[in-house]
Amino acid sequence: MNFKFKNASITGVLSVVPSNTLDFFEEMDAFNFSAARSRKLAEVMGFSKHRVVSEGKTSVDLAVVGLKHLFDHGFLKKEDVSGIIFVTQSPDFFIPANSHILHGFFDFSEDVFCLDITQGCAGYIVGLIQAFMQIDSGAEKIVLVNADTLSSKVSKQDRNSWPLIGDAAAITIVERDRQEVETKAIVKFRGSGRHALQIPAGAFREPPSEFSKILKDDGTGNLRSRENLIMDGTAIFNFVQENIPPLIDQLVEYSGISKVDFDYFVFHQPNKFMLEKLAQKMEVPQEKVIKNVVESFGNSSGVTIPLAITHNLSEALNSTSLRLCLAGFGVGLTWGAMDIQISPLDFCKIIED
Amino acid sequence: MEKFLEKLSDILEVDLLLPTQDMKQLDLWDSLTVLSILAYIDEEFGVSVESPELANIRTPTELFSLVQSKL
Repeated sequence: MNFKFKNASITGVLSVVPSNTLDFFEEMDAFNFSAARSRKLAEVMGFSKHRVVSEGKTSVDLAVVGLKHLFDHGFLKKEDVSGIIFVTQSPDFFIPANSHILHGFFDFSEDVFCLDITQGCAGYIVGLIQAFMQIDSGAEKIVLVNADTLSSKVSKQDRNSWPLIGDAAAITIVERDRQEVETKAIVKFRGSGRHALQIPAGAFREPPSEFSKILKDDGTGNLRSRENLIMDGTAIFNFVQENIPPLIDQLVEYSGISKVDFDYFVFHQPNKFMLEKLAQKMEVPQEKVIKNVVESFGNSSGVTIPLAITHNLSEALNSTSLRLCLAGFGVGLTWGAMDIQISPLDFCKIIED
Repeated sequence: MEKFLEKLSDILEVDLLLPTQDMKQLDLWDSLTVLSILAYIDEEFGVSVESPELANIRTPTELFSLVQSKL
């Protein structure tokens, strides 16, 4: 589906990361990885540190820290908010939804619309589209939360996934304004590829049981249960290489521009390796493609895009305007890209919980 | 095939792979090296190899044949 929006902009981005930091090299000792293998993984994939919540903390907790910060520092007034959108795949409960929890916690007015969206790696794009659509229909200011704490779903004995998983939250304010530069987005889906990223058990199709908790070797020395996240690295790599370059080409054609018109490409951050290969394939300069989030924070699913913005572009976005190409790809399979002009922001920062 | 062997040897950090050597037995065969190999094949030959296809492959010769068949 293609989208275009006028008269609405992002006016602030705040990321919240857990202060709890894990170190890849310390963890690799526990995995019995040879020094050569650890070094190679660190160098190529960009593994170094990742942030995970301390036990018992959830995506709502991170979002609350963020919203409190915005209220306390005068960046946001409760009475100005028209709607709350919470994008997550690690909700506190099946029922009620995270957006309702935030609504109740902060005692928002009855007219504030609440919506949860179940999306992952492309969740920032999908969430922004939803925010823009609400503003198109009359809303003034939307609080978009992207937050996930998937670390508790990753087996600590899964050497493919544990070193790179991260938890985080981001709050993006989207509001009506006189922005004349149209925001454009294209999102595509391929449900037939959904098995590349899944948590097989724990919900309704395969409820939790004794069986679903048993750790099994996947044939390469990684142990996980049916309640753990499983990612098919090969399928994902091929999917990204084949589909993202044409998506970006389609986006620039839709916008009537070319790739050189973008100041930066801010993509979902699975690992440094895939982003370097993608930049090569797209034939865009490596310096324009942000790829340093995994090494400091890990891969926090839909939060990596706003995290990449706050980690790299804070200074620039405090005073100047940038034209960004955002792209999220993964769970679903979903892949989406957005051409968006971001004017100087009211705030663009990272805080810890 | 020679350049192919050299590249695979480099990725898997062995002195020189034998064409009929079982790569999956090597210390460095893991999700990262698999990705590096796939990336190399994509860059060099413009071909993509899928998970199910890799499941049945163990040696450089088998991999090379698969790549050739897709050209």
